[in-house]
Amino acid sequence: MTVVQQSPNRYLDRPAPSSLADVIDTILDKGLVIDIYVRVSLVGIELLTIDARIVIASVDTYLRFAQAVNRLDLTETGDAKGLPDLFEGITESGAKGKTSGALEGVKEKFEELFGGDEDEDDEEDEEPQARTQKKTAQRRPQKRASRSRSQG
Amino acid sequence: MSDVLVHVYGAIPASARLPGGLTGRLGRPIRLVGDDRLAVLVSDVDDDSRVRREDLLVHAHLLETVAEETTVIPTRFGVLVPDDDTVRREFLAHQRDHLLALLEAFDGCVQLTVHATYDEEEALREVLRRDPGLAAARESVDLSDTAAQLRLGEAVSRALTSLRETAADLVVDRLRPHALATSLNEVRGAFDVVSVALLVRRDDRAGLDAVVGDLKRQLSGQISVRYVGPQPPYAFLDHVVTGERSWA
Repeated sequence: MTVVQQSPNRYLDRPAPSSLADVIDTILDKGLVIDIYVRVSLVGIELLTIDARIVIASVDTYLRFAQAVNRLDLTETGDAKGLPDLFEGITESGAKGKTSGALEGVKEKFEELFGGDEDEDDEEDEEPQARTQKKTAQRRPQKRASRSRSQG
Repeated sequence: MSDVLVHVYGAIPASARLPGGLTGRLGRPIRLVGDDRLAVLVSDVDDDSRVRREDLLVHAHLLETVAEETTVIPTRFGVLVPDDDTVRREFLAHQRDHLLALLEAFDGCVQLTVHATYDEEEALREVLRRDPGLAAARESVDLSDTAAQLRLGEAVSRALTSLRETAADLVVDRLRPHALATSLNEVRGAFDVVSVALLVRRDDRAGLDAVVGDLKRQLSGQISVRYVGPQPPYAFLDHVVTGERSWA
């Protein structure tokens, strides 16, 4: 099931305890709830949650991006090639047959970044794991399920 | 009327062994309210206790400490019951089948979470490098023309979204073979690439640890990687509720 690559000098990373930023996706959002016993006045926590929800599509953000790219020093990237519609459809980068020349360039860049193909990359034939396809859609039913149980 | 309430952290199998001396909110001892099969982790809090950020961390870290040792089904933060009898009624009785099913489904499993965030300058550099149109727009934009600046910023924003999605796919593709299941958390920042929860066996983490180590090294300077856990299986609880136990 799990592929463990044996390599004697390979660096194993150790996970760290969660930080305050993590609680938004964990203890404030998920887990068993018994509604009638939720009694917390979360003034500070609401603020914390809002802090973390940066609104991306806003005038302020666009202006900030424009200013940020204007400030950027691009001296080392003067030879950028013409790559039209660069990242459109790039989620198909794993499907090699569909990859256009331009997209290959992107893929190469990432493989450079990600260390290229290793043997764990040939997993296209595996049955799809429970990778979430419905990012937020799946978040709510859990609570409802718990609630209905707790009140039943 | 009691001035003391019972804060509920989560449920574990009654047979589990925990380290001694665990403490919860306000530094008070963790107690177990249990029966022959289930035990609920609780501690006492004052009725008027205000919730501070530290309380959130205590709740999260207690569950992580327990997750190192045994399967734990977390309670969402903020469930406070009047007394131990209510714990017995609500959790050990009303939720009994639900909790036993969850504990069985996640037996031996923990969640680990990987967060990847693009370095802001590197991400902007990358979108300009890949899109000469954007690079040209940057050169020609009139700094006094707000509308033109907005158009540029919006184009950059779109390009960043695509870049993040590309990077997210690549990160997740690298991690997925080492997990029983994966689940994506919502990402919030413009430079957040991905936040992915991975379900793994507690005693079979080495593959994931190694790949995360590789990613950290390879992406260094471009994308920072944060590795959190072991945690209770927060992101996967509803997969069981809805009957999707694809890792079992």
